[in-house]
Amino acid sequence: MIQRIVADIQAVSISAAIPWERLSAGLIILIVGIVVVRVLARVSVRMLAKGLKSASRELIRKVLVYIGSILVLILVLNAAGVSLGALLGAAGVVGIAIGIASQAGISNIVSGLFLLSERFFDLGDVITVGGRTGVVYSIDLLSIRVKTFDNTLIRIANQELISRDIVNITRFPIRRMDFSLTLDHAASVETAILALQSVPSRVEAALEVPEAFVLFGGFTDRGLEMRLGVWFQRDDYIAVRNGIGTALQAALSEAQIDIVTTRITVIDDRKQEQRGVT
Amino acid sequence: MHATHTSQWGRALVTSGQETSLKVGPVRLEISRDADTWYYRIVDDSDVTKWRTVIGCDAMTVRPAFPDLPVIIVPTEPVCVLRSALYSFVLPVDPWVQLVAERKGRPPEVVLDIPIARLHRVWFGSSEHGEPAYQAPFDPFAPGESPDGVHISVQIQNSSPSALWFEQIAVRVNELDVGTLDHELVSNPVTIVFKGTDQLSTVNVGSFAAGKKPTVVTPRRVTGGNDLIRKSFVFLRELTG
Repeated sequence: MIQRIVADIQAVSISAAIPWERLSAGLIILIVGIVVVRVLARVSVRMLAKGLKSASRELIRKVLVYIGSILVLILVLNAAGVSLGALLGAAGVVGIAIGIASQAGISNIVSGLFLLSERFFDLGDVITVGGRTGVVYSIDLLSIRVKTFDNTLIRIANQELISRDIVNITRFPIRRMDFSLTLDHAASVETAILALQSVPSRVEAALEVPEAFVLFGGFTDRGLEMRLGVWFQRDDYIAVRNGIGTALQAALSEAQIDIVTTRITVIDDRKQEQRGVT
Repeated sequence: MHATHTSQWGRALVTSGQETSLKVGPVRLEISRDADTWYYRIVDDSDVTKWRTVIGCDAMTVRPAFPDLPVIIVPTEPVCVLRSALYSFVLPVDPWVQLVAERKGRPPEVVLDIPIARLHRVWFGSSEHGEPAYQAPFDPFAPGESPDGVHISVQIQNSSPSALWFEQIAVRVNELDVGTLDHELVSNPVTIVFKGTDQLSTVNVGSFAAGKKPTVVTPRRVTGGNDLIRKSFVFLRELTG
């Protein structure tokens, strides 16, 4: 087979002295072709894929650009006087070899198509996959790229995505942020609930409707277990996260309720002995 | 409702090298200028912002505006509107302060747009397809008592076959103009008609009454309109990108 490939490649008849006219023609076709392909792909996507999500439109555009680029390449080679018959013969054999070697790639492409048909996320969504969270930066044929919040770029193969749990954090316009806390035994449950219910009104970025979720979890040996859930618009995550801490302290302080925290005191006996303390 | 001073609205009278201070509710706006460069900063109860510079400006106008989102009115107690009855009230809404830079031959540009009072943010509708809004408490037995807000004349008409309980209503103030009439801030009248057994509502935004036509000082933020020209424009924009 190798001999056959070598023979085919040798048969590609690139003239030793390519006329300048042919080279120029090839160059012009290349430049014009690339521009035309890109414009046509963009216009086709805009006209035909109107109702699709931006990720799907981008993928279709890329596929059209790849197909168009191959056609332009054939035209360029033809204009430059390269014998296409021999080249295609060689490409056929090489293609089989590449096909066998690129099973994973094909699997990724098929997985990518499944993911797109599910429409679970789009460009710009914040997702968590395998413990990694970030903004969907690009959706390609073989993989997606996720930009993390500490500004790193992660490439996740489509095949891996299809088999993992994906959490789309920003799918809906509003979210709820939950806080668990333990309050001092001395506090009444009613006072604690009222204090926690007042928290969203103290934070500018928090939503007052839907109302905050307040749940009394029970009496434990540490104190009253309480849970607070505050609704917010998805873009206000940091403002709400920081604001709730301050508002919680203020609301509980006004209601004279202490938050129970675990304190560990370490006593070093050796140091006390050295000081003469028994 | 915070006290505003309508005398403060209008062209900011500042001579070159001088500084002026305008008070709108709890917000104090300090403005100064040098020839065509203007400076402003906001001073409120808790904060002082840095000076901001606007270059190439001939004049500055301070004007009232409606909030940038719809306002949900929640009566302190539900009101029942009987069949075929009409419930009218005047709703006062705290205005926002806009600072507008003016330049000869150019359209005015808003350089500052802030509320004068703390707004209560809420979500109106479902958690999937709703929209953000502000919530304003409303006393149905003492409506329109504050002379300092922008007054909206609201009519609720119950044309449904059963009694209507008015518990909350979204008023799209961002689709209303702000005007002045007899030194009072007013807006377009709004009529909400409830029809059918499902009590589906239709909202009509009226124009200012003839004869007592106020001067529009701040045009609406959002122009709803489904007219043919707008639709054609949107279509062309989508096509050409």
